[in-house]
Amino acid sequence: MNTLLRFAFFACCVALAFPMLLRAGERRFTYVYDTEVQPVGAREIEVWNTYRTGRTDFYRRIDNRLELEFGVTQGLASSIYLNNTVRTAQVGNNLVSSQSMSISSEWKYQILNPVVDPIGFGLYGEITLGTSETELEGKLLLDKRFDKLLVAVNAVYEQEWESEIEDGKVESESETKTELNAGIAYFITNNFTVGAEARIHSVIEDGKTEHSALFAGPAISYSTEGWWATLTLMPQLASFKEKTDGSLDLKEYEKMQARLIFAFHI
Amino acid sequence: MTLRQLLAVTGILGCMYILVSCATALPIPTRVHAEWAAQRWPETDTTALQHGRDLYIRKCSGCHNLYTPTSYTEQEWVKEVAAMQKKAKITDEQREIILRYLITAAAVPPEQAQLQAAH
Repeated sequence: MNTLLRFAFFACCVALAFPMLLRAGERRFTYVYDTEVQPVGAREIEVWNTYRTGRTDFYRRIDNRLELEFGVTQGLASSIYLNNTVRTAQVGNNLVSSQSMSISSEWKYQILNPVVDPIGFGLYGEITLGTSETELEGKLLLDKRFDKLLVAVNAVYEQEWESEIEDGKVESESETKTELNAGIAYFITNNFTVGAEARIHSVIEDGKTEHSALFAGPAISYSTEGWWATLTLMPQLASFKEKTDGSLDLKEYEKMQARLIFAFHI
Repeated sequence: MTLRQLLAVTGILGCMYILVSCATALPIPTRVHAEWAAQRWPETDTTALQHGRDLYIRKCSGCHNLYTPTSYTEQEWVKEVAAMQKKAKITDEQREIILRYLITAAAVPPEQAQLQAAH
């Protein structure tokens, strides 16, 4: 946590030391990505906060990500992240808290622009390194602007390797996750959007879908010259595999997720 | 039909709609745009408007995401482009060309531009 705070302090110092040089791309969704990238030379600090709650047994989790994003070349942007996760779960008659940290590197390349071209198209890659896990994530990004409307669709593939102890030996377990995400945002003004986003998240083990659920909820965003913020509420609407509470799977997934991203240009 | 199948069909139809609707949010100037523009600026034709579109993309997308022409009113565009002129190294002549394109593209409804251009 100290590292995260130090990084945040450093980011704030940088932001205060330099006046805003360039206006960068705001996000209208927190789970769904559009294809817009930071222009060359633009830099941005994004603070991510995701809160998850509501499983069969007591479960609360907060994910914080601190991102430094910058434009590399025309159409290409990159980011580095510091990730911190704190969770408290019920184990028997006890509440057990745990914390994990990791770092990530993200690369996003816009091939077609959603305003200039008939459809926006981009590629996204991310690698995450933790002390006990490694993740590789790839996304296909599609989006389109219809005057006041922005529509975005993502196909996500993620491979995760995690070290676990089995019979006293450390073994590596792999897991595949896929997502189909979609979002729609209406520009009430150039600065303010209201919309919705949805995602179907699936976990695949040994070639078989073990878990799959649909999440959807409202998203609002506001931006100014120097900063922007986007908030999404994402309740679980249905499970396509195991059901533990009506139509929901509250063993693998939470009943409610909420994500707030606050960003400022530096 | 299960919920999953319904979602899949909706998703596929949605994606097809997005892919099929080929109009860009930054309209490519047509004869209809040129006719509208010529009423205000007699020397303006499709080539000049296309030049304005190219300049807008080249000069403005280097610093920020592009706004659609209807994002601002004519008065606001005049103010915004003037404010950005120095930073984007836009000459007075280029500013006028960009503004003519943006004002024209915002004034002509996309359906009208496409339909009449097709005839």
